[in-house]
Amino acid sequence: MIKDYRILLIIGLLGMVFLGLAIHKGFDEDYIRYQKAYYEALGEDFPGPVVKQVNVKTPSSMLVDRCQSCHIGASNPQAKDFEMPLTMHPPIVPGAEEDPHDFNKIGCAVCHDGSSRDLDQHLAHGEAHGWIAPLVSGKIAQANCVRCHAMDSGHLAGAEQFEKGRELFLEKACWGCHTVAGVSTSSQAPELTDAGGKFNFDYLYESIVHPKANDANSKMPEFDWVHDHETVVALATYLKGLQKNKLRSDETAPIGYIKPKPDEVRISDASVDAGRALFAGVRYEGSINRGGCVNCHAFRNDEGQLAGGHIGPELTWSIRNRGETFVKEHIINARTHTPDSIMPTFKDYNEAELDSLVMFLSTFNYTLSEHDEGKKLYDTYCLSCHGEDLNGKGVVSAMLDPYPRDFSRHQFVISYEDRFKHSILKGVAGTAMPAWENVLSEADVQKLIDFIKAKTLDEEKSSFKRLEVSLPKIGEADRRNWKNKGQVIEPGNLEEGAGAFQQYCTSCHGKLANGKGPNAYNLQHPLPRNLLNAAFMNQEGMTDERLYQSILLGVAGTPMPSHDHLSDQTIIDIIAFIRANTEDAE
Amino acid sequence: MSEEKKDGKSRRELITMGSAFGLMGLAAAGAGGALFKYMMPVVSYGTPQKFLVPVKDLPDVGDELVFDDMKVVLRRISKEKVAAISLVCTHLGCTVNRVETGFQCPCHGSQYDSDGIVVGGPAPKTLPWLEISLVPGGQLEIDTGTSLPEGTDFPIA
Amino acid sequence: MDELKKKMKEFGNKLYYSFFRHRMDNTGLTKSKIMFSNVLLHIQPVKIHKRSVKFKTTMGLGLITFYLFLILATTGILLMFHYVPSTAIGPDGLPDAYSRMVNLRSNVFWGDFLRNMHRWSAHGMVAFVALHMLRVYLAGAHRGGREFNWVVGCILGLLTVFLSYTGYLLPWDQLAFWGVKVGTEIAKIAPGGALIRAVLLGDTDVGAEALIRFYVLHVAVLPAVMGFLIAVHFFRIRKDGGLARPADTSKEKQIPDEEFGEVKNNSVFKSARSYKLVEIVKGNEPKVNEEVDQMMFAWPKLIVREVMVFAGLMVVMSLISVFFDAPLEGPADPNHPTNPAKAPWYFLGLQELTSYDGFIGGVVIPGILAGGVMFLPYIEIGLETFTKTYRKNIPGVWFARERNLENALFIGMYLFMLTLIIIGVYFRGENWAIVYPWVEQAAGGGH
Repeated sequence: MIKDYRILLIIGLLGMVFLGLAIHKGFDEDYIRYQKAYYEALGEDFPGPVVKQVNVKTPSSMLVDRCQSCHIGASNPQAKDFEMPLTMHPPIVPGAEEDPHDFNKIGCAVCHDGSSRDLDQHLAHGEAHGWIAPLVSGKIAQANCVRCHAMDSGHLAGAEQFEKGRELFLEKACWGCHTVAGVSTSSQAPELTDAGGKFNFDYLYESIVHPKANDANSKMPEFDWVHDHETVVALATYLKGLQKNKLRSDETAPIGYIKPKPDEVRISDASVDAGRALFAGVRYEGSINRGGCVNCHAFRNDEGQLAGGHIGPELTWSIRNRGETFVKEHIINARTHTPDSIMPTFKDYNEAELDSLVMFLSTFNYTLSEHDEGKKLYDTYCLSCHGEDLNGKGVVSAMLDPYPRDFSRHQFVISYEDRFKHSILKGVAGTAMPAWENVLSEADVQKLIDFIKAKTLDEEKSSFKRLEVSLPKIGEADRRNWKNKGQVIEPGNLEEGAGAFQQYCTSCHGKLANGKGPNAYNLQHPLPRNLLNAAFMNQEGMTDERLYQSILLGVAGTPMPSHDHLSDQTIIDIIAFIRANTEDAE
Repeated sequence: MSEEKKDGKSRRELITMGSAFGLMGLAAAGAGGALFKYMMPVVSYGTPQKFLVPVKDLPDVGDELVFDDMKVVLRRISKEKVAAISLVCTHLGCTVNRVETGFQCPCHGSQYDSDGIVVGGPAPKTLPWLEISLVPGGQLEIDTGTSLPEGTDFPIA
Repeated sequence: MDELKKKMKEFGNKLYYSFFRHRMDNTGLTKSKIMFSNVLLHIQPVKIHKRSVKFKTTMGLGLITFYLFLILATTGILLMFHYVPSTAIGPDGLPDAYSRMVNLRSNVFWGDFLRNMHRWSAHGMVAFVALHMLRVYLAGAHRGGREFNWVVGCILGLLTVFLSYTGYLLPWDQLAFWGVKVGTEIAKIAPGGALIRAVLLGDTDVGAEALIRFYVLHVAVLPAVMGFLIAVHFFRIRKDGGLARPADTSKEKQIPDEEFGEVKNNSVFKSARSYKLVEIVKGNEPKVNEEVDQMMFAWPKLIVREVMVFAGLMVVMSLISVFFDAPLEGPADPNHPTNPAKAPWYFLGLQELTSYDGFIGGVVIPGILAGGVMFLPYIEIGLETFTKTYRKNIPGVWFARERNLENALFIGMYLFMLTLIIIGVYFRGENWAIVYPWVEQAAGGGH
């Protein structure tokens, strides 16, 4: 028995130790340590630990705020030079004699987020895994002014960073794709009306700099200016401030609230200057900011200097290539011409604004001289899309759909050389390739084609030869039906074609024939054709014979394989099905 | 085996057992103390003592404004002066009703005149008059925790 | 003076005998009286077999499980003082239930300690139920008239898992929400599972209704049922004659005299028993007339051992609770699933199985396992009765040679579930893809 009692004694001793440890841990709180340090720094006696709690009353309920248990000197001028977290909060409203924010009433978390009930520094600052609202410190806290103050427009002293971000949202053309209630209406990208309520600051910052970081499928471009830390911080501050859940309604907003004036001044007289302002995304004579083309599109001045973004195609020759009507229609809805374009719809533009933009775009008149070499021509006109190595991976190609043609594949160049001239002069309908006939002479075009050939082909590669086949005629015997020889070709059957398409084509071209099949993105460049692109499918030269050749033999230099296991009848049926998809649009 | 040895063994056993159980009892007592502290509130979620009234919401001269949830009546004495009287009965803490003659407690029938002075019933004291202070932004702050003599009023501006 | 002394002594005696009905000496009579005159102690027999207090007989697994239940009940009641089963969202964006969790770890003294203890004890109880079951099976103690108690034990095991699972939702954080969500999705697969799910959740999805239902189940219904079944479980152990053990043989050593206490009259107290009544009750009552008496008094040896296990357990649990914080993720957000969404660890084996095939993994295999285990003794009896596979059963012997096949199968089943759980906890990352913990730590959930 004594052995048992001894074990029991040891356990009892251990129990006492661990109980002491547990009790000690209960008392060993950050706030108690800080409060001791605070009173020591003040030279006063420590009156005992207190959880200083502010119950912030809001219309719906109560916000429990215990931050000042550690930040105990927040409103004590004597604590001005103390270290964090004991120091006094710097003045919020610049120049105000007495700061209207009383921390004993509003607490800290209303502006700074974090986990205001927690008393452990790490937890209270919202650094725990999965916490919804990590601490926003310094100027970023301006995002939360909106919880009490109406901030749609107008000016609030002390909220400069937020307001800079608000300006940037318009200037950087974010509004073109993202909806923010009361600011913009667009369905191109996720709505941001409650961005700050849904996401924390770091997430927003990261999503601006690396759009794919949080959503691998994001189509948002990476803009040039994302490397400017201040710009992104200001923008993210504004986005963090977009919150639906406010502590006060506009009517009960407290002191310092400046009711915004609803000013919706629009450009009414078309002018080049107005167009320039719209293009650059700045205000024009007090109008609200509704532009920012330059964030995505580049242009050249008369000296040939390039400026602007690399998201969409260069606009130096847009009016000459496309014509005014096309450009206007394209601004209003880019999808009327190019079904897969990611360009936002700017349907709110009025006539004067569209005219202004066209007028401004018309001022670009940079042209090369006749004596320039093919390389110079290529570098000027083609490089931004087709790329330095002719592989179709120019700087703007990432956002173009269909992708620019890859000329680095000699099979393609050899097989389709005869089409090049037509494509350059007349453009390729339904794609970003414009018609260059108003800019380039036939001699220029020939120089370009020669340049491409010289760059891609050498003697060995030139020996590549593509088969020639012709479209089978209705009523003739099927040349490729090995099972039932002598079967007669009938006109394309829509239903048979649909069935065959589902069987042979959908893995790449997709069930909807939109070129987005499950394997599409594994094929890399170029992507499968969107067969619903009516403008492309119905353009001149897109004959049944060409489709037949492409299906039977594949497209040289692309992932489109040959389908020589299909009978002629099946191919004819598939063509009928493809044609039927784009007929209505015609 | 001698008697002595057996005694020594049993005494040692008794001491070990005693101290073991004693330690465990101590631990239990310590845990009990900690649990008492576990139940002890350190913060309050209750209604705050002070509340704000915007100056523009003040009643006309001679009129009164009753704040049910704060149990306070705010009286505009003159154009420049206001006073606040608590509506908590000094007897047992019921909320008194405003009647024509003053205030009346529904619980035990205490009666006060319009200045809160006891005129009948078990109430021992006058209704407390409250401190009002002016805060930035044109608002008055009323502190329900104070107790001033009757007739104490405060300037609005 | 002497008169007063005498009166004082008399008063003291009266006081003492009003509390205790026995003397405090070392005689067998006292040892018997202590046991059956105390409400807490009388649940246990006055005399036990000497094997019963040996560590290797039970390893204290069943007792630890019961003590964990007591710890859970105590800490659970204490936590209830600070908890509200409400999903109403306050202006700080926190559901009430969740902000109470934050309170526990911030302003409530020992709040985190008690919550940790509750959390880890709950997980511990599930683990110890499993270990207890393994012990009982490997020692063959589920046979020999104890078949029904095995079934009761299995129900208790299921109740433990269910109790732990209902409690898992209460913190209302992401871990809780998605863990429970995934678990109830598994229920959908089973035939009739959708109905049970609807009754459990009170809604089409995990939400405010589910929280209040889980709460009531967790704090009232399940503990009450559990308490009753624990009583049945213990009662049957007593009625089956204590812990299962093989028959005594003459080779056994005589218990030393000192374990019996002082014997005033050998003829009465050494060989005769104090509980004659038991012997007329039919059943497996302790045998009499053994060649060598192996029965010893429960007081104080058994009681001290039990206290020892309890105190040791408390030490271990408080150590764990001081150093390891119970997880608390961000508040539950039905719009943003955690990736991966993992059920609590004891369901991760199931979740792993369902990731291969919903019906087979989620219904067939667990159904066969649970049903098979619960009715295992009857399956064994059936096989022995209807086929010629009779084997001699020796209850209370670890790894009896005659039962090698059964034991191997049972251990195999445990290893199978354990492997699945380990894969689920440590080897499953985002999108339920395999990750290697030494390369990249598997994302949260499961604990």
